[in-house]
Amino acid sequence: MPWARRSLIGGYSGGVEGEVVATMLINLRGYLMWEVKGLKLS
Amino acid sequence: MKLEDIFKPKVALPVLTAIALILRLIPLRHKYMLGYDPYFHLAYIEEALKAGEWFNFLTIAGGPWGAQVRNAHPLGLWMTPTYIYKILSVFGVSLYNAFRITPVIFGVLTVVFFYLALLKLYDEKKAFFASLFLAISFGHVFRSMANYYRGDNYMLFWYSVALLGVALAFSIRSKLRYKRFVFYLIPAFASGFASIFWAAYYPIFVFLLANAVFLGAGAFILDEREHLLDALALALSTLLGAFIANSLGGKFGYGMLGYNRWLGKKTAEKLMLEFGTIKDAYLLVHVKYLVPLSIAFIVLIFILGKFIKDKKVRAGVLVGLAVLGAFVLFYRFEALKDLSTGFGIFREAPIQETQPSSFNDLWKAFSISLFLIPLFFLRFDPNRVNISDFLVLGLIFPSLYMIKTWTRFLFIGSMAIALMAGVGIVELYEILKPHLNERKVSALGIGLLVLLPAVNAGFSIKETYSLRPYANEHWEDTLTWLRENSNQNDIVMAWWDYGHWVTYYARRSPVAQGRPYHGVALYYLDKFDKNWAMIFGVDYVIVSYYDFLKFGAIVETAKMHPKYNVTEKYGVIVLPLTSKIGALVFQRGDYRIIAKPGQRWDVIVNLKGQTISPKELYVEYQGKILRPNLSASKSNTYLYINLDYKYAIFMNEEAFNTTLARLFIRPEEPYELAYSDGGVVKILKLKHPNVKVERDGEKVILRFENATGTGLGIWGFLDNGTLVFKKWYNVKGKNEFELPEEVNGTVVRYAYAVGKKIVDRGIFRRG
Repeated sequence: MPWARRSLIGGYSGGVEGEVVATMLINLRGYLMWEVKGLKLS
Repeated sequence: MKLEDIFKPKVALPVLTAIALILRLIPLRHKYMLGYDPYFHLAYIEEALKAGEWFNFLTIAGGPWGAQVRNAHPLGLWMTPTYIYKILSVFGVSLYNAFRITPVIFGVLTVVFFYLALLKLYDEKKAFFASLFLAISFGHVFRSMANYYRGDNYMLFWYSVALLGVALAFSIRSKLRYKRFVFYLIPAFASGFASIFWAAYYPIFVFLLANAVFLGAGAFILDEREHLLDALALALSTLLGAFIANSLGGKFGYGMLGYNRWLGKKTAEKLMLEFGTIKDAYLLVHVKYLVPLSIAFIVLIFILGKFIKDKKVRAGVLVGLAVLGAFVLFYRFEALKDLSTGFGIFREAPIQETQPSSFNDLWKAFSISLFLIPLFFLRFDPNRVNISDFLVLGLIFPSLYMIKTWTRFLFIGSMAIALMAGVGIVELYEILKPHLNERKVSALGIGLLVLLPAVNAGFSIKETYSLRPYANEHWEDTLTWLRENSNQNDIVMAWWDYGHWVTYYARRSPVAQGRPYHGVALYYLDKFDKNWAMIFGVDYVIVSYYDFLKFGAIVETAKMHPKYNVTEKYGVIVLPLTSKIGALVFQRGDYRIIAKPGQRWDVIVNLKGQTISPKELYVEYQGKILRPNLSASKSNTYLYINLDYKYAIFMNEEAFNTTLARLFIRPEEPYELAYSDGGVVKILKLKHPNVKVERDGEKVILRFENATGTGLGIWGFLDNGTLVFKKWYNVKGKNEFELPEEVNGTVVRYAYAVGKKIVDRGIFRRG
């Protein structure tokens, strides 16, 4: 459910083999949220 | 019945009530409650009913120190569903169900009072549509629906009551003359009572005082001098409300800015305030600065009104005074600008409800009504504007600011959005109506007044219907097992999200709950080891599939630690099984893993076009974890496959070597797998010198397992949290220790130590 008191799901980028960006995802929506966040950060 | 009759209160009110009720009851079909917080609240209510009193010191939360519930919320938050249960139990309603529907009762009542208030402030149509938009607003539904219990709902409910009081004072001006001012006692009591239902009740005071200020401004511009007295009365009513809140705080507990709360102390320090009679930082600012400043403003415009007659000049004067007022406030309280973020305490935390609202959030909460809000300002045409339009600006402006700040405030802001949309849409209809022929008027009416709300309702129903609980059988079974197979004084480590479930289902004390705790995050990442866990008395560690989904939040939370620098680049991907034909295929977006079982497994990981093979593979199937050989291994990555639940976790070395991954995939000493459902939730027992509290009649005996400890510290507390006893005992070579009679207090904390090193800790209630 949206806007609950809970940890954010949808994103952490780290390195798998140094150059491959990895993320963890719960569903497509979470994935898109992460992508947007990632873009904003960069 | 004519079409216009729909807007008569005797029809409109039941219609609105039914719509509000139906939407808010949709989530009741779920067996589990939504989110996490409701579980804590229900656990405390159950324990309080068992104890027969609203005790303060809860030993099954806040491990290993225990939690004082008065430091969480005022008692009304728990008393309300309990009394509702006591009433409904006559009809056979269980506590669980009474608790689950309590938010609906207050959510629907909010819509009802809001409607009754607008009926007095506007007219039947505007009141109907504004209330309809509130009834169908998902922004309002999500914290006033069945199965999700939060305190925000009460604040908005009390505000709707307060607004009705103001509206009554307005509407019977001609009948009662000055006696009507007695109605301003309603906002006074409503704001005062709001303080005992939710720790963060303060917006009701901001709304009401802003209502008073805007009312004054409206009276000045419209030259309605008697309404300046209303503005004054409303401002003064909040003063009375603040004193009521302050006085109730002593009995029911203060809000989050109370003098005995960390945030209250910090706020007072930042704003250079000193607690005296008023024991709450916000109430202090309200009484000492905000109300006097508002009253000074109202009195000033009353005087200026005698000299300035031109409306444009009056408006200019108001703008000048607003700038001056803001300057005075921010000059006196420079730290005020950080108030909305709790002075930065939640700013960096990866919590869903305290993120700034994105457009997606706004759309989800308000859908079409979001685009209707500018229509409200059609009211400010000099020929149409009236004093009510100014009054409600006091709700609108703070709400818009709040909506932008945190997603949780989408709920509080929903009333202002509904008001603007509802009043605005009728206003537009009425402006256009005289210029159109009958057919066009009908089309306009259907389009604006039927289709738009209907589509809005459709979106809200879709959102409400799609809500799913986070709790499930896996968690219930796991934590019920823990309740039945552990000592009552055992402490549990779990990611903070699940802490409230530990309290509810296991009735054990979790180390973290309700807010992110960087210590637990650092522990999961192997930055803190078992010795750190033992200092917190941890007996069991819970790891779950969901922790990998939240790995990002764990890392971000670990980074919040003021001193510890997390520099590792963790890589974790959780992928569902998408195909079993020929090979096991796990896929998520651009990431695909193909695994062919055999004597040696062929595993290929395709990451955005790049192909690699993992170094090690772990497969969990029917409760066993196997480590098959791989035909090729060309990278420093690791793969865990769960065939029971059909998912895979692909990790880089940094992630694989975290405590979280180790405990989930390959636990080793001193951890022992105590419970597993085969891949969703697992419980590990941390073997260490342990204290087990047992009762033998009147006696309390502390038994030592792996009894290498030499000292036992005992601290006794009264239920109100006062420390009344403290002593260290020599327990070297002992296997048990009877709690001596000299120990005072109803709640006992203990620490078991080897020399000076703490190896176990815990808390229990005597008797």
